Amino acid sequence: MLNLFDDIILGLNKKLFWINYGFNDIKKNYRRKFLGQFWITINALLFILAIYFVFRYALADSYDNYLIYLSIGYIIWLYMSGCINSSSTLFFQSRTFLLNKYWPLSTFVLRSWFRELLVFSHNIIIIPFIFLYYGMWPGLGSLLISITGLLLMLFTSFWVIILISITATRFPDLSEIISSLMRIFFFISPIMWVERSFNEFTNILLMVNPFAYFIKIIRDPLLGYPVPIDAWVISLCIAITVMFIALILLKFNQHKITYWL
Amino acid sequence: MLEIKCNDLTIKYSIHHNFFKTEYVRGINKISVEIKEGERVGILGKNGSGKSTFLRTLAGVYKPKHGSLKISPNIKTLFDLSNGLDVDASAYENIKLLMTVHDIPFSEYQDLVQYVENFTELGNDLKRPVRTYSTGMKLRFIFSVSTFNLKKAILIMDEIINAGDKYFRLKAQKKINQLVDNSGILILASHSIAVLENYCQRGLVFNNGEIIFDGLINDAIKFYQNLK
Repeated sequence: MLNLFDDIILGLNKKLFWINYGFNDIKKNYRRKFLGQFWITINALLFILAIYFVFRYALADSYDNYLIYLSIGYIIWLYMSGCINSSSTLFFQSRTFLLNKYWPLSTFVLRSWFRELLVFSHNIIIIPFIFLYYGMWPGLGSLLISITGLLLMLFTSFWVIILISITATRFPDLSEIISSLMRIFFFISPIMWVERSFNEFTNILLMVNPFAYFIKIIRDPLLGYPVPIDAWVISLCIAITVMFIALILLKFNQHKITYWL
Repeated sequence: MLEIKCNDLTIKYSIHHNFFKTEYVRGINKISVEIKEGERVGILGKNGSGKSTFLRTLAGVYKPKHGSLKISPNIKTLFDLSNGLDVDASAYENIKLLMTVHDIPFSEYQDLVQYVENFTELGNDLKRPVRTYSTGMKLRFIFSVSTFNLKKAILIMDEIINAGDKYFRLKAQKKINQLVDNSGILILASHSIAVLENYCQRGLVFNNGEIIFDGLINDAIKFYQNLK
C-alpha cells in the first residue's frame, strides 16, 4: 500500500521545485503588465459582472442572491477547469525536465496543482467583497462547512490531474476530447443557471455532472441552504474512486511516461 | 564505491502514432558493460546509434524493461543546461529556480549567488532579464549554476561546452577539468575527438544500439574513424 505512494512522497519532497516554479508560472504570464497577476482577479470579476447584467433575468429570474450564486460557482469552475485543461498536456510540457534526469512524476502534478491554487486564491478575493456588497454573512458554521467542501475539491483535483495527465500522455486525443467536454460542462453545470428552478431536465444534468456536486457542497452552505448530505456522499465517493484509480495508474505507468514523450 | 553494471540492457521505445497504431523502435540492444570508480569513459557513435538513450538510461530517465542496470544513486547529468531557465526573469530570479532543478539546498543560496557573480563576471547585467543576454552571456550564466559545488558523483555529459569567447572557454575548461577530477565516474558522449582524447581513457563505440567496441580511448577513436 505504502508503495503506491512512493512517487507522491518523492514529489512532495521536491517542494522547493514545484512551489518556486508554480509561483513563477503565474509571474511569467503577468510580468511587465501594470496590474500584474491581479489581471486574474479582474478578468474573473469582469466575466461575472457581464454574465450578471446580461443574464440575470433570463437565467435567474427573481433570484435575489444570483450574483453570489454566480460568482462562487464561476470561481470554483475556473479552478476545476484550469486543473483539468492544464493536465492534458502536463507531461509534454515538462518534457525537457523529464528527459534530463529522473523526476518523480508527481513533482509536475504538484506544480500544476499549486499554480491553479494560486490562480484560485486570486479569484476567491472577489467573494467576500460581494458578500459585503449585499451586507450578508453566511455564519461561521456554514463557512466552515463550505471550507471543508473546498478542501475536498482541492484534494480531489490533485488526483484528477494525475489521472488525466497520465492518460492523455498515452492517448493524446484525450486533450481534444477534454477541451470540448469542458466547454459543454460549463453550460450544463449550475453556474450561470440556477439549480433551484428544478425541472426534469436540470435534474438529469445535475445527476450526471460530477462538477455539480462539488459546486453544491461549497456553495450551498454559503447561500444559507442546508448541508447537502447527498452531494457530500457522492463527492466523497468521487474523491476516493479518483484517488485509487490515479494511484494505480501512477504505480503502473510512472516509468512508462518518458517512453511516451 | 561508485559503479555501473549493465547486463543485457535493452531499451525499446513505443511510438504511438495514434489510438490504434503503435510502433516499437529499439534504442539500445543487449548492452553489457561494467564501469568502475575512477574510470573516464568516452562514448562514440553516429547520430541515432544509441548514445543518448544509453546516457539517459544511466541517468534514470528510462527504466529498463529488459536486462538489468545497477548504478550508484549519486548521478549528476549535464545534458541540456538551459533546462528550466525562464528567459523573461532576471539571472537572480533564475538562480532561485535553477537551484531547485539541480537539487541545490536553499541553505547554499548565498554561496551560489556569490559563485555565479564571480564566475560569470556579469555584474549588474545579472539583474536584467536573461532574454536580453547574448548567447555567450547566457551560456556563462547557465554553466555557472549547473556546475556549482558538484560533489563526487557519476558525471554524465552529452557533449561538452565548447562555445563562448576564448576567455570563457578557458574558464569553462578549467571548471570542467575540476569537475572531471572530482567525479567518481565520468561518462562523456562527444563527436569531438580532441575532447574525448583529453578527458577519457576508455572508449565505447555504439552502432545500431549496440556496443561494437570497448577498449582504450585511442583504439576506440581509430575503430570509430575506420567505421565511418
